[in-house]
Formats: sequence, structure tokens, C-alpha cells
Amino acid sequence: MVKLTSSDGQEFTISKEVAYQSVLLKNMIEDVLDSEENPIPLPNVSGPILVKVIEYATHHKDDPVKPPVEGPRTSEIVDEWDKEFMNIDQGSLYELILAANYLDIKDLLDLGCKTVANMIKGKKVEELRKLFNIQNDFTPEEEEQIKKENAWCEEH
Amino acid sequence: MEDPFNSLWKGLKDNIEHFMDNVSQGINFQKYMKLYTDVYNYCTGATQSFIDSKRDTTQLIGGKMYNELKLFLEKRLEGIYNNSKEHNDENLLKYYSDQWHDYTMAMKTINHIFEYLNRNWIKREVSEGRTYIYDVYNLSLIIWKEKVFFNMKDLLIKCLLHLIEKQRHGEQIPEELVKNVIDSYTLLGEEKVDENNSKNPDIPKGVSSFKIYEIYYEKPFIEATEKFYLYESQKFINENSIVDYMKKAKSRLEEENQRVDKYLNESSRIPLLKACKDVLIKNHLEPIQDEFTELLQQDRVEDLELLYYLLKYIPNSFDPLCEKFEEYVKQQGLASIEKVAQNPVSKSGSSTPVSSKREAKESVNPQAYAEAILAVRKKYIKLIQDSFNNDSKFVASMDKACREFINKNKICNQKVKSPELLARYCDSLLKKSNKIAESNEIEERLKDIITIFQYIEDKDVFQKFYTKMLAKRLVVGTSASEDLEESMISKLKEICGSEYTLKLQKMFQDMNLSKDLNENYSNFKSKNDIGSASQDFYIMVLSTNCWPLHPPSSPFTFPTELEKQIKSFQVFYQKNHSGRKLTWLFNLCKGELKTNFYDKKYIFQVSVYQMAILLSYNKGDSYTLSELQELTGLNQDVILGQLNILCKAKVFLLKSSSTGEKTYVYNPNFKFKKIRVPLNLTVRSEQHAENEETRKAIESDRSFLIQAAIVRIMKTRKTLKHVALMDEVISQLKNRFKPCVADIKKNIDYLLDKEYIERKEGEKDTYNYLA
Repeated sequence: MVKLTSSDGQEFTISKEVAYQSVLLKNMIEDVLDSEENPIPLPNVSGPILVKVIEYATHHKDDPVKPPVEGPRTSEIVDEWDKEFMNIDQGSLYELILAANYLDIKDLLDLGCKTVANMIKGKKVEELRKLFNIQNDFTPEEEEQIKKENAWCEEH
Repeated sequence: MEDPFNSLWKGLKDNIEHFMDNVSQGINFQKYMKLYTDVYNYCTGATQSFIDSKRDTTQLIGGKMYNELKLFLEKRLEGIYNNSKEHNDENLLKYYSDQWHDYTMAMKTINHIFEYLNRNWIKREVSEGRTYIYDVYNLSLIIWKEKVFFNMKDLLIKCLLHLIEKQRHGEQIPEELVKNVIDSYTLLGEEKVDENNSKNPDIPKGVSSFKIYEIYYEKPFIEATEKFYLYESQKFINENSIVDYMKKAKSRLEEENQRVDKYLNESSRIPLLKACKDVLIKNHLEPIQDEFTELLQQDRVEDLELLYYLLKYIPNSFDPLCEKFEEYVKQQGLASIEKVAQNPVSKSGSSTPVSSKREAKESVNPQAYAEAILAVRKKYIKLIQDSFNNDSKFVASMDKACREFINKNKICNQKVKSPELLARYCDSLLKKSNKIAESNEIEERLKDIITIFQYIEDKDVFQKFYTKMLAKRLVVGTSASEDLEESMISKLKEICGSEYTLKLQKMFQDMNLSKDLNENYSNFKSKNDIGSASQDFYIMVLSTNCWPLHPPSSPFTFPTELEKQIKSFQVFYQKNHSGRKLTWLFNLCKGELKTNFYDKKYIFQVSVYQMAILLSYNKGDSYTLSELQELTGLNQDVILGQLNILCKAKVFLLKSSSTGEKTYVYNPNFKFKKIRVPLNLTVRSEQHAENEETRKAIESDRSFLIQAAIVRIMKTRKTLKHVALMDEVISQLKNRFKPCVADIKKNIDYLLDKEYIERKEGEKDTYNYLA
């Protein structure tokens, strides 16, 4: 078993199998001869997010190793459980992506990025500014220029 | 304001340094995570963002950290190298090995701590073509190579080779240490070198690469090995026997082979062993090859195996040995046959103890002869198996030797040659009188005969004699078993093709047809009320062109007692086969006579000639030679042969009449230990005459075969040069016999005379075919 401590001091105990979904944890457990009793501190992951990460890792712990995807990559999420799992508020979504990156869980990182990509898909510039809370810092001239240069992607 | 990186890096560096200084103590989760998080925070920009809010977000962060890490490792390894100077010899190896061990152990973990750098900044740099950037672990190996290995390599190899030489002299060395050091060469991997020789290790233009292990370990190691064995082998071979030297060489080869297992790279096995074999064997090839014949002579199977083991590594080194082997086996075969020729085993049996000179010459025991050949062959086949790993080259040499000594030996210089002796051996096995109970055993021996048969050049001679003897067995009824006969024929067929055995098979057919014929004949007799109850009668009708049988050499008046049978069969047969001509082979006929006038009722087993003579004595007790000749119609040679047997058996007493003529008188006191009295014995002189005849027949058959071959070839070629014709004739006939050149010439001349072919005008050595 592996003990983890989140940034806000919550302690979790998970099986090695689950922990090994994270390359960081896998490397560390193999490198370090520390006692299993000692918790592994995760200063960059908060308790609620760690709960989500553990949920994901537990669900996928028995997955077969996926072959590398051939051809163009799509943002489509095939797995229904994954789709449901990502049905969370935006703030949690970003934190989850950061945690996946930090813990080095490639599949979860991909899943998070796909989810964000799907949010962007088919939306107007103004909608996106609103969605992601981005201030428009272009001058009207600059904006006109960029629109001209990128006219081809507005065709559809 | 201080760059936050500096304080971050200082903390990181101090911790890493502490960890590297105490690798064996390891690192705990707390610290590991702290260091990983520091690297992560730096690379994700969290550390810098306070001071550098306007940075280009498309650039990844990490270069600074990479460079600091590189500087730190370089400095640390310079220190390690400097400290190495305090050590010598084995201690130096130990120092190097320990440092290497700790360093690589630590770097595996440090590489993981910097994993985020590996995954982002370094990965991006590498993918953008900056080949001088490496992931942290490989970076650490490259720095080791530069700062430690290259500075120490000359000393290292010196120490390693010194230890290995000590081990070759039989001393104990710390093999584990040697292995660890050599493993570091392998792990340091490839070295890239700029061919333009710019002394910048970071990125070259015309790069080439070589393996550190091969250049800095394997090459000097093999050179040292060659030097060592060059000296040792020369010294050893001068002071010891060749066999001892071979043993030494083998054990050295095995030792070097084990060295690879113990502490070298697998890739060194082939070059190392090649170098050893060159020095240990190739350099001393001649004295080893010269030892071969002596080892053969002394039957030193194990030493021969050793010699084979060593030489098999040297290409073509067996060629001279195969020649020697062939010659040796040939001599062994000839010697063994000579022994048989010198001790002719007199044929066991009841015949006269007096033997003429000619008989002695011919009485080479066929079985002893075949066994002598087989013994030699078996011995060397076994040797090839045991010592030469069944090497096909040696098998071929042995076959060549066998062919030589089987076809050209002491006995072959006499009248009776290998094929005839072999055929006789077959005959003795296939006869009822073979004295071998197990048919398996006979089968085995027939197989042995086939083994020899394959070497025989004059297969036609064998065929001739075999046919002759088979005919005898069938006609006289002495064949032991039809199964064995058939199995032998099918074996011959396998080797020579169906044409070779066609007549033999036809002979068996005739035998079966005769069986039916006799049944029909007895039906015919009972229907027509012919024949007498006191006479059994069995007849064989054999086609003339398949059976090597000859009509009687003497006229014969058959006794009146048989007249009815003979005539009625003639009638019966001609009725069914009107076109066929029957020739009676009285010389091969036999019968049994019951006697009524002795104390016991003997049954005389006699030839028909003897029957005619004996039946005359129903009418009188004494006849002169000329009277008997007149009664039987037989000529003098034949009747004398028959009478001799009867006199020797004391059926008759030989007296002289008043006129001095030979007179044969009935002997009323005849006695024999059994009821059946075998009197139908082969007359020796007849036997010799027959064999002589067979040999002559072979000569004339060969002429026909040669002529047929010439005509066949000329018919297809139309025009052919003399030499080419010769070659083709020889190759066409080689399955039957080896025609001699003079015979072919003789037959060409004959065909020229008969105008089957002609000499081409203006060209002396070319022939044309004439249709």
C-alpha cells in the first residue's frame, strides 16, 4: 500500500497498482527505500482533486497497455465513463489537468485536454472570451488584421 | 532582487550533492518530492513568474537548470578523477568501480527527480535537432566519459590486462571487480567523433561513432591475448608431444570461452576465439596434421577426436587429412583382404580331400572375404562417428577408399573377383543349407552384402553370377525362402533400377507358372489315364532368354521307364502352346529311386543320367563303360563323371574286364547311414567349366553393351569426337561396369567394320553415324 498526503494535509491510502498509474509515483517508489508507513507528500495537489485522480486511477488500473494512436488525433472521448467523469466545473477541470501533468498520468492529461478542446470547438471568439474570462487586449485595427489573416478558418 | 532561480538551484544542488555523497543511505519520500516539485515549479514557470511576467510563453523553461546541472556534474567528476591519482593497480580498479557504482546508482534517481525537465525542455530541444542535449541520465554518462573515463582509460586497461594475465597463469583474481569495470565500458556505449577533428565534444559535423568497449577494451585485450599465446604455444610445443599440445590448446580454448561468460561482452566471443584459434592452431597446423596418420595407426580414437575438434575451426585444414585417411583405409582394406587370400578356408563338406592347385586358388571363402571388407568399413565408419562428428568429407574419403580396395585387391588379380565372391556369398545365405536359423540374421547379412555391392564397379558380373546361382537354387529347389529372395531382389532393384532385376523377377514368374502347369498336367493325365502310380512327375517350363541354362552337352537316351511321361507331357504342352519349342535339359533333371535289393530299402537321390545308368542294373549286375554308354547314349566325359560318384559311394565296384576295359559291378554290400542316399552331386570339373563359361559370357555381354551404347550415342549425336564418345560410353555404363578404354576402341573398330559408323573425312578422330 502507498500513503499519500495532499497539499491540505489529507491522507489517502491506495494500492501500488493504483499508484503506478502515475509515472512520478512509480519512479519514486522504485527509487526510494523509504518505509511504506511514511506518507508521500504531494504539495501541488489538493485533497478534492486527489480524490478525483484516485478515482480515475482506480477505474483504469486494469486497463491493457494502449497501442500508440495512428493517424490524426481527435478530441473525441470514446469511453462513456470518462465522459461522465469529466463532467465537472471548470475550476476543478483545470486543477485536474495540472495534477495529471504534475503526477505524470498521461491518459488523464490527454482526457483533460480533450475536454477543454471540446469546449472550444464551434464557439465564436466572443463566446470563448467569456467562457475563459479573457480580456480583449487587441486594438480594433489589430483585430481586423488577424481576422483577415485567419479568414480561411471561418469558412465553415 | 535576487533571481529566485539562484536560491532554488542552491537548495536543489545542496540536496543532490548530499544524496550523491551518501547514496547507500538513499533518500526519503519527503525530500524526493520536494526536489521533484522544485524542478516542476521551475519548469512550469511558477518560480519565475514573480519577476518575469512578460516572458514569451511559447518558450519552455529549463535551459538554465540544465546548464547548472551539467556544470555541477562536471565539477564533481573532476574531483573524482583527481582523487583517483592516489590509487594503483587493483586498488585503482576498485576505486573506479566503487565510484562508478555510486554515481550510476545516484544518477538513476536524480534522472527521475529531473523527469519534468526531461519530459519538457529537454524533449523539445532534442526534437528541434539539438543533438548535444541529452536527458539527464545520458548527460551524466557523457560527463563521466569525458571527465573520468578518458582520463583513466590507459591506466584502467593496463590494470585489467595485468589481472587477466595473472589469471591465465593460474592465479586467483577478483573476477567480479573485473566484470564491473568492463561493464562500465559497455554502458558508456558509443562515442561520437567529429571526423573533421574539431576538438569540440558538443556537436560535430561529420560524425562517426564507435563503441567504447570495442576500442578501449576489446582491441587491446585481444592483442594482449595473441601475444600471450604466441609465446606460450611456441614454448609448449617445443617441450611437449603434439598430443599434449593439442590437449593444452583445447583447454585454453575452453578457458577463453568461459572468460567470455564470466566477465566479457558476448560480442567478444567470436573475435577472441578466432584470435586464439589462429595463434594456437593455425600457427601450428602442420605438426598437428602430421600427427594424424600415427594416431590412426594406433587407433587413438579420443586423440583423433581432439585433433578433429581443433582443426574444424581452420578452413580447409581437413583436405590433406582426408587424403591421408583415404589412403590409410585403403591400405587397411587391402591388408585385410590379403589375409583372407592367404588363408583360404577349405570348403567344409564331404568332397574329396584331394584338391587340385586350381581349386586352392579359387577357394577364397566368400563369407570371410565379405566379412573382411565389412569389418574394415565398419571400423572406420565408427571412427568417423566417434572422432570426426560424422563429417561428410571423411565419409566421402572412406567411400572412395572402399571402392578402391573392393574393386582392386589381391584377390581381384585372380580369376574370381569381388562381384563373383559376393554373389557366391549371397548364394550360400539363400540356400537351405545356410545353417542360420534366424531369417533376421540372414536379412542383416544381405544388407551387408548390399553395402559392399554399392562399391562394386562391375555390377554386371555380379548380376551374371547371381542369376546363374538363383537359377540353380530354383531349379534344384535349394532356395531357403521366397521372402528372402524377394527382399534381396528388391534391394538390388533399388540400387540398379528395374532393368537390372527384370530377368530375376521373370524367373520367379516362370516358377509360379510351372506350378499351375503341373496341376493342369496331372488333371490332363488322370483324364487321359496316362502315367503310372509308382511315378511322381514334376516339370518346370522356363523361358530360354531369361534363364542362364544350357542344353545338355551330351546326347541322352532316356530310360524307357520315363518315356511315357515325357511323351505325354510333350503332347499336353504342344496342345496348349503349339508354337513353342521345348528343349529338355536332362543335365538338370533329377529323381529318386527306391531300392529293393539291399538289407535296407534305400532311396537313391540321383540325376536323370544316374537314373538311366542305375535302371540298366535292373537287368544285369555288371556293365562295361562302353555298354553303359550305348545304353544311355551319354558321351564319355559326362558318363565318367556320373560313374565316378557312384563308385565313390560304393554303389558300384570298379573292375577291369579281361580286355582291360573299365567294368562297373553292382555292389550287393552297399551300406549307408541314412535311408536317403544323396548321389546327385555336382561334378567338380563341370562346376569349373560352368564358372569359366560364365566369365566368358560376361566378356561377350560387355561387348554387346558397349556396342549398344556406342550406337545409341552416335544415333543421337550423329557426329562425335573420339574422346567425347569415350566419355559418354563410360558414363552410360558406369552403373553396370567400368569399361576399359581398349575394349571400347575394339568395339568402335568392330562397328566401323560393320559400317554402323564411319570416320569423318579429313578428320581422324571424329565419327559419323550411318543410318
